[in-house]
Amino acid sequence: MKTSSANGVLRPLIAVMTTIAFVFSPFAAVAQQKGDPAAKDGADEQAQPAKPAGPTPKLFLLPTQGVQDDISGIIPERIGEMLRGQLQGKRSIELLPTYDKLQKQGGGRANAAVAEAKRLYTSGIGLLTAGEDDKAAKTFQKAVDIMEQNIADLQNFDVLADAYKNMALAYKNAGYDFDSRKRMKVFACLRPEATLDKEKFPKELREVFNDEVKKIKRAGPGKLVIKADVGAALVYIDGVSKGKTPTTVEDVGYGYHYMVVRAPNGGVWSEQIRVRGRGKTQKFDVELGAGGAQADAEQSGDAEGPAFYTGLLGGIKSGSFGKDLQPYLAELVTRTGTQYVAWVAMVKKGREYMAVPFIYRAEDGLMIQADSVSFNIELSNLRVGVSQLASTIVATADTMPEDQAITSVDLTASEEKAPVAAAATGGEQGGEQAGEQAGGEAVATNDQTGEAGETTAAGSEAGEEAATHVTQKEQDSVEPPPVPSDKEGETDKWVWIGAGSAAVLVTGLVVGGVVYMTDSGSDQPKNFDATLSW
Amino acid sequence: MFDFGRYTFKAAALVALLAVVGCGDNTQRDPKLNVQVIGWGPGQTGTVGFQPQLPSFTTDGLVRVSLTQPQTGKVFETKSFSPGERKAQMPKLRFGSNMRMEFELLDGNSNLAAYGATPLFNFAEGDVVQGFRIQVDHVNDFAPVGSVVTRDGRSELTQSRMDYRAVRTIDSGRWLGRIGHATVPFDDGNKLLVVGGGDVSSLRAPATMPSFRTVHDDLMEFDPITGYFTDLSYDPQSGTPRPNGADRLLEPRAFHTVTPIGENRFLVVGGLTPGDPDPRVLGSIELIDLNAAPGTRVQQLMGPNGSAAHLNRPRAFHTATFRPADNTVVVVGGIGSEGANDALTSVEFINLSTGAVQEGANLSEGRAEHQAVLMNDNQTIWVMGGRNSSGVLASTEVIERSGSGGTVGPEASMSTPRFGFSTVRITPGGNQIVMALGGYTDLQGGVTDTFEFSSLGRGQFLSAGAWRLDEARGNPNAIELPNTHDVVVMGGRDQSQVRVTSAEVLEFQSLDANNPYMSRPTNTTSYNNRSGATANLLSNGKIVLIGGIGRFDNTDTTLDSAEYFTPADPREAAASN
Repeated sequence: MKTSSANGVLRPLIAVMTTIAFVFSPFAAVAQQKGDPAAKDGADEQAQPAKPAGPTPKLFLLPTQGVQDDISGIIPERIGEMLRGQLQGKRSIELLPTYDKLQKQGGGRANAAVAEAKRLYTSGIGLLTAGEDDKAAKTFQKAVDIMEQNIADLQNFDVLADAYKNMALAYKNAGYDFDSRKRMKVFACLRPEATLDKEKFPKELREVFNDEVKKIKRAGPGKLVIKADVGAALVYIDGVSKGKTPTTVEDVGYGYHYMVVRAPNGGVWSEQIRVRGRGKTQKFDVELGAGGAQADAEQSGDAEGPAFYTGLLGGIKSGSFGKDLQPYLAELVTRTGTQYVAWVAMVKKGREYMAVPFIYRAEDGLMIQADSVSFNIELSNLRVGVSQLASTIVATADTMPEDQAITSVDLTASEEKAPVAAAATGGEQGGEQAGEQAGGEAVATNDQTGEAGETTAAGSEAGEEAATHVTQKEQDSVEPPPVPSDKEGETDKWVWIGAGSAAVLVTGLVVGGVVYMTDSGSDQPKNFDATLSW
Repeated sequence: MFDFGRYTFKAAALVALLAVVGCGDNTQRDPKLNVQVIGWGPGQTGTVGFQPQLPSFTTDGLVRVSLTQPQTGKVFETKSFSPGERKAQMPKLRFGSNMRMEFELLDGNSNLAAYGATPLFNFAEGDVVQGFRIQVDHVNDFAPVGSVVTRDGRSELTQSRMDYRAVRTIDSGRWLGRIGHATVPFDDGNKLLVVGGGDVSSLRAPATMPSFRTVHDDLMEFDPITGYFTDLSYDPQSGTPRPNGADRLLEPRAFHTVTPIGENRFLVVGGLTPGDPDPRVLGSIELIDLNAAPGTRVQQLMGPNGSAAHLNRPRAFHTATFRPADNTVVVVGGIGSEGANDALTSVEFINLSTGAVQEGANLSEGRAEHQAVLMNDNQTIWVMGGRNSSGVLASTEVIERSGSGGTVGPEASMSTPRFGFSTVRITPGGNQIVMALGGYTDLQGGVTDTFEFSSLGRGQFLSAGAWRLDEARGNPNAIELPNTHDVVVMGGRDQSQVRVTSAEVLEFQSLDANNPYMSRPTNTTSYNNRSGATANLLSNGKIVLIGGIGRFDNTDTTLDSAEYFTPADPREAAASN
């Protein structure tokens, strides 16, 4: 153990002198000026080029949220409301209503997944025509998978049947005979009356189809007795209405089909069924209660919203997000028709609230983290800060600067980055804590992991946590954001006079401080002791 | 106006803060490195197993502890102790980077009996304490990798196995044993990444397709400090797998390639995935970036047009070699979509800067289960041996860089045709000589015990009747040791397709000697009777074997566990060479 008695006198003296000098220095004044948002805001407004005539881009603003509930919900809510108001006044964008309002207005209800499946189907047709059979088969397969997963939302079963038919051809051309036959048989079940184009479909494939149709005809239809826990639910088989529950359906042929049952309250049940044919009775007891409840929640447009929307908000609220938001955002885009989605996430940083705006462009999935804005704890700079946020969002949506594009961000990590002053002076305590976490307890910690965990291996959590901080944007955001002043645009010549006269003192003290720090650095340990036990 | 009140408040606050810091605790604690030894060997009663301390390897001898920097060959400090002391202090070790604390147990004849070491670590200002647990095992012997788990409320050391936490949610019945997986060291060899692979229902005969029970899509990180495997898709905070299959491969695959492309990033190319009924070859390309945030570590490689990049010809049993000179991965041969005998002549170039994939000049012969070695100019790739529908190849070809692609030209043929063999670009001779060893010599599974050498432009491979391994092996593992330049050869199968579970060391003599490498059997057998595993040299100086087929719970199965082989690689040998 080493101690330095000289430091006990020198350090506080230099600290006090440096402090006095800094307060009166030009740096303090410059820092104030630099952070003045009012002037910047105004400049931004003026700098915006006149928009060419034409439709203004639509922007959907998500509710402003605090990250991980470390800020009272009132503050983000208030900032969000004011931000919405500011954005409504911007001529360069068309701010869409809230999700809740859009739903009440009957805004888009298209199922994004089905739309994506249809897009894939079309793409598969193109690939098949181009002779890219392998890729075509995969694309059709993806389309079919998506449609089957969302069968309740599928309106046009012809697309599904056609995808099966063309997938069979693509597999055949790509040399996957078994896969080809399998798909063609499913198509035959769905469309036994179809005729295959002789020029397009090879003889073997047509024979597979014809054989399967013969089998279906030989077997004859089955007898499907369908009951539901909700009365008068509509029954569809392969997209064709078959009456209301309870009902018996006797015209569905042997093989694979899709049954969808829709309750009057919105509940949906769906399943791929295999009809045994030969007039055999198959009973289906459909439970629609849970599904109905789920559908109700989605349709009512209440505060919670549908799962994708709550998932999106939840992802943002976690403070750690990135490409994992893409599916939710894509769904939001499909449902609202927006071109841009913006949101603001707030984190508490010391005695300030940092508002971090993000903008997502639907066209290419580009996600930008724009410049953050800090609000002081009294919110005395609320108006200025919100104005700055609004301008930032509009300007960013306009330019979408790719150098600010992110793939992921972890806002929770930034809290652990100490402010510059604290980092410079935090010294040994911080180092000791970090060291102990990183190293000294490693064996014990890992033991604990093992104890808490499983009879098989458990992971290194320390490693995981460290990794969460590694994002491109994190490194960018180490620099503290500009601090809006609560005295907008104020300058005073006395500040400069005082500051100027203090500059000499500052220079001397900075130099002295550096010399001192260099000198005191020699007291830092350069060695370590190793202990091995065996 | 100048606001005195405001500045006064700020000044007071800063004075208080800085004064506190300035007057603060000036006590400077001496930083500590704590190393705890565990091992696999006899306990005090003589029973062999995991010991929470140094096993009772020898009754006399010496413990030698050294702080080294392996990459430069420096030894900062060495001290010797009696094994009975059970504790050693090494004060005043200088801060530094890429250091390793080595623990050697010398027997009564001063021969190295047991060895273990930390991974590479840094010690710098601000570090207060670091701790490592190291496993010390008999040299030239196998030992299961130990990790601490809890059974019935008690902590105990047991053999490390794959992390089942994520798969329990995804597919609770899945067995994580595997063959056809890929393992790549990262963090300078301090850790290992295990990617994909599959569990098979029957033994794969040479030159045939495997019968998969399951093909894995996971990424497992192996950390020798703890012995733990960690499934990267498992989120420890939520206790569930990350949503949407994040940090898992987009397509499960085995017999694929995982190519290091620098900075803890890897390119996953091709492989086999389950098909109906036979496995299907893949053309997809995935990028693993271990520097990215959790949840985003696996992405598709995107092509120049913004869509996912694909190989023009899907394939498995191919090679994919990173060509640093132009940031390109060169994909060579393999089997195509027509099945096990569809050996491809195709060479594709994946430009990592643009994501463009282009086919270049073809090989003169289709090749699968061949080898491709990047030469020391960082741009020439030597393609050797392999098999196609005509048989097994002795021929070799060289791919020279040409623009963003390459030209293919003939090179000297090997003395022995071989596929499923190993190559090592050996250090002696200026890193220009490639050794080919072992492998299958015919499509029926005949194996060879020969090895041979050549360098580009030599015009022939050098071999001799006495240049032989102790045992003939198909699909062996071979690793060159950094100090002695010996080559450790393990695993493989004999001509009856029985697992070869021993290890042998090709001891380097001299390039001028009649026999440059003399085979020395270790007379040791893999703990799990393992074959078909991957083998990688870690920064702690041990070779870790992962997966493969072997013995577990009295059953022959694909293995989900890890095992060490501890080579003897004394530093003194480096000086003599």
